[in-house]
Amino acid sequence: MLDRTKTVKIRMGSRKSQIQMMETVMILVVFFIIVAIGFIFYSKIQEGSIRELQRQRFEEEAVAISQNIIYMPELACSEKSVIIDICFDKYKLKAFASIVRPQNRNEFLFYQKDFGESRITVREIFPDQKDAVVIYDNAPVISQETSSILTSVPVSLKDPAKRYGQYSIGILDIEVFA
Amino acid sequence: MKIIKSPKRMEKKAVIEVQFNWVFVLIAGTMILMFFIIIVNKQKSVSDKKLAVNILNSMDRVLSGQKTSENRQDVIDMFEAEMSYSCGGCDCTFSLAGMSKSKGNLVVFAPTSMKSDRLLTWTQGWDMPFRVSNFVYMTTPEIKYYLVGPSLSVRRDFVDGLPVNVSYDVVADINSIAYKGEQKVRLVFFSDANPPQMPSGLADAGDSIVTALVIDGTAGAWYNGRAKLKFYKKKGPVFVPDNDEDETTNEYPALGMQTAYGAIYSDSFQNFRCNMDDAVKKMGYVARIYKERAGQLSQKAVDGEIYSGCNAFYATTYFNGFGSNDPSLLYDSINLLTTFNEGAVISSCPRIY
Repeated sequence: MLDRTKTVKIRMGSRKSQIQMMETVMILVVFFIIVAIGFIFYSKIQEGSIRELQRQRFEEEAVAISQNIIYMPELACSEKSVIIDICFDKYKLKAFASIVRPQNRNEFLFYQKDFGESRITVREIFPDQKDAVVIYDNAPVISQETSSILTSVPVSLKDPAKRYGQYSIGILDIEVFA
Repeated sequence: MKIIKSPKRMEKKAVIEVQFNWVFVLIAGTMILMFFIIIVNKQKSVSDKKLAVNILNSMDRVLSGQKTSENRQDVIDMFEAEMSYSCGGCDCTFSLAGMSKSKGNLVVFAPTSMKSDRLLTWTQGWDMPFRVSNFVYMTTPEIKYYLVGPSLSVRRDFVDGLPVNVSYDVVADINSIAYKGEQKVRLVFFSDANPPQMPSGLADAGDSIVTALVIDGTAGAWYNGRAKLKFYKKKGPVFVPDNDEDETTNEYPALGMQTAYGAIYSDSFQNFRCNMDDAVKKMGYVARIYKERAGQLSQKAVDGEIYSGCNAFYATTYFNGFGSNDPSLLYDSINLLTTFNEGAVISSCPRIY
């Protein structure tokens, strides 16, 4: 009788430990599922912030290019050898456009480091409206995934050959592609 | 018939199960712990890289700003990190914690490594005779410069032009130089001693700490291509030439004072030469733009839109020497261009540059 009771107790103990084992396994499974969900959630948030960072970086790049081009000695006009702020020499613009072309590989690659994938144009708007001069064009093949930011900066344009009315107003358009 | 297991056997099984339970808990616990340790480590390395990228991007923005302004001195506060600057294959990059950023077309003269919480920056316009670029100079307060034996005129025209926040001493005798635990020591000799003599006070300093520059031939207008900038590095108790990557040379002509300042700030000839090559290449492109512009002005003179006599100043042959680092060729072109430009100004014609 005593032996039988002991046997039943042991059998019940074994079942109990089996159930406990199952419990532990289930807890682990649930734990890992929660961790996995947490990670998926975290990576989604990270993905969003990376996209935001990319957009921010892209905007900064556009500003950097416009800042860079405005003060470039290759384009800037000067008065008695002093560089004038936010002013382009019309003859330098033409010369730059004719030299920095994809056909002139070395020159183009050199300025590509400064301007990357962008299209830079200058158009005179006052006193006369004139056609835009493309001074750098490295636009990628436009697809649905291509996005761009256009930054327009008003600039002075100088015609050094004129004695009077040397200055006119123009718009510098910088379109940066990503 | 029901088989009843013996109680002894059942007891044994329970003991094994309890032990197995503990082993299982131990393994699972270790796995969970390992999992979190790996996550924390990954996260740490990611945030280190993120920080490095942020610093390099901020530096890029600062340098872009510096590039556009002339004669500017700045102190940039940053967290203390070791940043290296190298030009392997003339692709110059700043590196920090395994991340690197190219300097692009900027001309930056800086030591090969900088470890400080402050960066000292300085810009100078490089006019040949037209503005080619702004040179950016970088160093840290922890780097010490000794300028050995400059003449009075060199001291007045050149040495006194260095930014006040750069840690430098002018010494007449190298024996007065002692190593005081500085991060780096750069000696600048204004003499023709090749190689220069090692100060006894620096003999025990590490080879990577001490470097030297000899500005050979500082008489008259030495900075107009006449003087030679020779780079040396420490090897035991002596200085040996610090050659470029191709092991061909350790010297470069002084093309303007800004170049000589660049040679002081750069402690590696390879870095200096790559930056100067970029600057000279850009000079060639800017000269081509002026040449094309002179051609357009010449056409205006022919067409009668400006005084026809101006055409005499817009010859384009004097642009041929630009884009070369041969000082005699380059300075012949510069002198000719300056003369023609002055002629244009005197005759009330549009300037060439």
